[in-house]
Amino acid sequence: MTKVKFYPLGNADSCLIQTGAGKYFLFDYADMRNPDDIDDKRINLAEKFKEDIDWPKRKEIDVLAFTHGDNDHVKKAAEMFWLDHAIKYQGDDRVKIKELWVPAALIVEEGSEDDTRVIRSEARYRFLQKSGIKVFARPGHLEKWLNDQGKSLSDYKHLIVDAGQCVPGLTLEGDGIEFFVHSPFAKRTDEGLLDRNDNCLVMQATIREGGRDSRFLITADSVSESWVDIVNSTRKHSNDHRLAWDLFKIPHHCSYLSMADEKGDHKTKPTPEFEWLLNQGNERAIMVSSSWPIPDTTKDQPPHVETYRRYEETADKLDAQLVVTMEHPKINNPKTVNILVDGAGVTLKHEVPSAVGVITTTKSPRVG
Amino acid sequence: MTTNNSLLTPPGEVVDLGSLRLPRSKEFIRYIQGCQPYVELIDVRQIKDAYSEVIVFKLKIERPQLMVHQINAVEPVAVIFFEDSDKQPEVLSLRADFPKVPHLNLRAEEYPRSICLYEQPVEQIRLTWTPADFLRRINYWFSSTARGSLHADDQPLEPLVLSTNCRLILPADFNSAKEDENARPFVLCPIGSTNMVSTLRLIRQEQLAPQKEIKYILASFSCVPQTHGIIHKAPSNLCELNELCLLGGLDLVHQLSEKIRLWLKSDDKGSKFLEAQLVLLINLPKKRYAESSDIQLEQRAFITLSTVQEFGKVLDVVQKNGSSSGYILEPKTPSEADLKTIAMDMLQVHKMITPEFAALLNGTLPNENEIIGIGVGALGSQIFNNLLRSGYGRWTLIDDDTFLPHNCSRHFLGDWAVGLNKADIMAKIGNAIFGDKTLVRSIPENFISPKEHKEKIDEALFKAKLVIDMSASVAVARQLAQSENNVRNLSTFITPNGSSLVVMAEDEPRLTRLDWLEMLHYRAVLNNAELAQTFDSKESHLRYGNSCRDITSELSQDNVAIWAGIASKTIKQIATDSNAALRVFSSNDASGVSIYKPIVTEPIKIKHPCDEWTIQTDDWLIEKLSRIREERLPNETGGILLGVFDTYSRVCSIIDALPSPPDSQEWPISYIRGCTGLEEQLKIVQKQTLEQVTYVGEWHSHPVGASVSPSQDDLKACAWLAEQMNLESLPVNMIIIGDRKKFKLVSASIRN
Repeated sequence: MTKVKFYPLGNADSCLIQTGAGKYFLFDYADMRNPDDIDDKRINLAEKFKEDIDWPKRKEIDVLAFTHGDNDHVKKAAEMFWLDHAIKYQGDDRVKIKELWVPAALIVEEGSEDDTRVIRSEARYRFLQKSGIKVFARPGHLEKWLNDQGKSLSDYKHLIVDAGQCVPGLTLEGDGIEFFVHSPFAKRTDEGLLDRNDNCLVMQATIREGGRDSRFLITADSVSESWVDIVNSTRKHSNDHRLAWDLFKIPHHCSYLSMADEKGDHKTKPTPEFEWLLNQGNERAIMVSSSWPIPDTTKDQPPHVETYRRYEETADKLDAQLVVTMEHPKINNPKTVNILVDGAGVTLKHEVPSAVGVITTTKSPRVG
Repeated sequence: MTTNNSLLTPPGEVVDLGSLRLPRSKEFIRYIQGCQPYVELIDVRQIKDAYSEVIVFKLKIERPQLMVHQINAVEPVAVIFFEDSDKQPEVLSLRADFPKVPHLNLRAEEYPRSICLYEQPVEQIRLTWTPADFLRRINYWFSSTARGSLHADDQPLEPLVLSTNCRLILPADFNSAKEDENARPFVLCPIGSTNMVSTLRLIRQEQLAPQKEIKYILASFSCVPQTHGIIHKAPSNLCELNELCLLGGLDLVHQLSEKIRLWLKSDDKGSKFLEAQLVLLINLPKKRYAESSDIQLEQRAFITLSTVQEFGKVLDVVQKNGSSSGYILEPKTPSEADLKTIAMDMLQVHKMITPEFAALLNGTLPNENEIIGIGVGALGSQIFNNLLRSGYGRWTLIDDDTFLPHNCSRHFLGDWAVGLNKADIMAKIGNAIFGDKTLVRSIPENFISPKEHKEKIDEALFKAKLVIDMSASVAVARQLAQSENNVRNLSTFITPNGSSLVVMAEDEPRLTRLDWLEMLHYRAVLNNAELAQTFDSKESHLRYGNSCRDITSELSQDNVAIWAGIASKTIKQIATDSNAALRVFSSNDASGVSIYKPIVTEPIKIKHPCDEWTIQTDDWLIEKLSRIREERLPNETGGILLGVFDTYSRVCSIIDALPSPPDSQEWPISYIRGCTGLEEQLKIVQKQTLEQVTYVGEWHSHPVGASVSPSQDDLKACAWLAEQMNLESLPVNMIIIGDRKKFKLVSASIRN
């Protein structure tokens, strides 16, 4: 069986997929918790993540994907992972990355600080070394940058994955999982193809378990305008099934901006394209909002209650489960959202407390 | 959401928490209060007479996406704790429409349903009973019921549903409503000893042996679609069954009377069925929701001890006059008491398996692609068996071979097939597995040179998605490679000494074909110490019929079965990918099976300018030659080229090169290839590949800055080589390699 985990990190993302064949894929790493604040209910990601990959028995994950370079997707990644580009980021306590997946923007953009800058250096290093990396973009998007480095695009094409195809090297039969790339994509405009730097990684993972294919839409922070393009382009290519979902990561921490241009008074009204996307959910699917608890009243920052109401409508229609990471299972004690994928589709795991379970997962009191 | 949340009233009077006095109920309350959000307490109650305490709560259920039984996200539950602590607490579902599922307790009333949590006796359970474990059990019961996994497949059904272990087996595509039109009863064939019939199997008219005595027949009836089940306890006689059917809109007694009358009317032999025992099949179409159009069919069958004759009498439709029976035109309505005289038992109903279901049981997706299997010998028959049983493909088998006694030692077939065509008999057996006559077809014909059935083969090729060559014949694979249709070819064979299995698949656009993959396999053998013995054979390669894929007479069935298993698994795997693939599995007794995945390249094809020969090679070789050249710069270097001539298709494949012999002379602007040890080296290559790979020409490098066009000397050398090769009517090749992997291939032959 495949396990999918979402960590409660406030408005931030980190999702771990452990396939039945024993491969580990991590989408974003953002350790947001403030260790000095004892009331911070966000999870200790560094500790939990290592535990979940069975550290120190396993010291490497197969893929680390950064959907984009914002702080809430990369925070403290430079402390967790073994990075090839500088000795400073190497050490026995660091998790190695077999393959790094990044959108092209992360490589070609300049000027950002902290973890994003370090990840950018690592991505550039691996890309120029032609090893352990896949870059997601229309290949042409990288041409100028490569030329500036004195390189030719043709030598790097095999490392670049364009939208509208599956990530090469992974197959359903062989690996039990495949990833279809929806974004970044180049938009066709009057001036020609436009590569937008705000395009983040959007993929659909198909997971094959027990003779059934379950579909997981990995959405990052994609904005409504991108969704209009993704839906239209996917439908134009008769790839509707590539937007079907059994597991749906609600984009951008339940912000209305992914659904429509306006928040709406009571309930956000999605664009026709996003409405169509919501309708691609299968019965009893699971929707996950990686966000703070949903507020009772309207707020400027996500999550937006108006938008949440619209997701609730879909959840009701599909008899689906709608999970908010910082509310699961309880607001006062959020825990990892564990989802099991097997021949019966997706199942949200319930962890009813048990004494032994509590004892064996916490430090024992001092004994003398 | 379509949950019906109407709540049944739990037993007892509501009291406040403080009034509870039974230790276990107090423990349980304390525990579940810490179980939010999964448990939400509704109230607590007391039952005064036979004192007991009731805890009522809502429980959130861990449900899978695909459910076997309809369990809601939240279920109302009541737990009754008894004063007598030896009595196990009872768990009730308070949902008014809680489905009839396995593992319910029998109670006087059907609702509220009582959940059967434990299989062990109470004496055992109380040793380890804790409130946490108790709630976990309840949780587990609901989750597993939703998954349908509470009831293990090999567990017999519950006694409530079934009082007999007798089974009824129906064909997979059995649709009684359609088949009933011929107004004849279905005949059931008993399996098992005469006094202990364990299974009744429905036999269709066309499969019926005419002389066979008919002992059991089946009459089928349908209720109108219901949202809920109507048979919740097993009826013990016709009267009870009739009452249940009336709830489902079926007047069973009336329809059964009509049916028996119809049989008597239409059956010219009159009393043929009268002495047969009657089995009743009731179809219960079920809808999930009242408005849903998705209908699932539940079937229940009941065996009676009564014959049709006896039924006819009770229903007043049959009248016996001496030895002949007739039907009564205006029958009386039978009384309840009469109907009660016909006792019955429930049967387990099973459907025959379909390829789709077999795929599910194999953990794969069903595959309905048309597949051609060429060659069903030792390996082919077993691969075919593996694939077919996992619901993989609709097949056409092609083989002109006759099954002979010695084949039995390593073939799927046995003694009964001796003298028959292998493809024909394998198709028959394949069809018998799922009882589907259209699943496997056979063409008893030689694929390479068909005589009578060429059109059939062409038609099969036209429809096919995939051709799997299991013929162990290089010729078949090469012919497939040459064909210009759009069907992807795949070939698998065991090497002669049985130590290695090869699976090769063309890519979907067919740029890399079987003939080139064959070359890549030879290359892997030449470049891999572990594979060097692949073609080693104790027997002389000149013996009759010995080709690269003919297995020796000494090979164990264990090995064939292992290779067949690996082959079928690999085939399923690589067929899902559109790329070309080559897998070489090698075994030795010491270290098990190793897998090699040689690099698969696309061939570079060069048409010989003045002859019909096509020359093919690839980047791998050019890179290798470039590397050697660089090592020897500024001098020129060279050596001989290794490859394979296919003189039938007139294709020459250049796959490798030997290094420059030590007595060669290398200068900045010329090269003379020496010959020390060359012959011996070539002999080893030939032996390692069963004489397939041989000398196909020469190569040499040009210095930095020079063009790769042949010099005058080069052309002269080429002419000399062509003259030598002409003795065997073969062309000769010369590769000249220069800067930046640039190369020129000169191919020459003498036209006679």
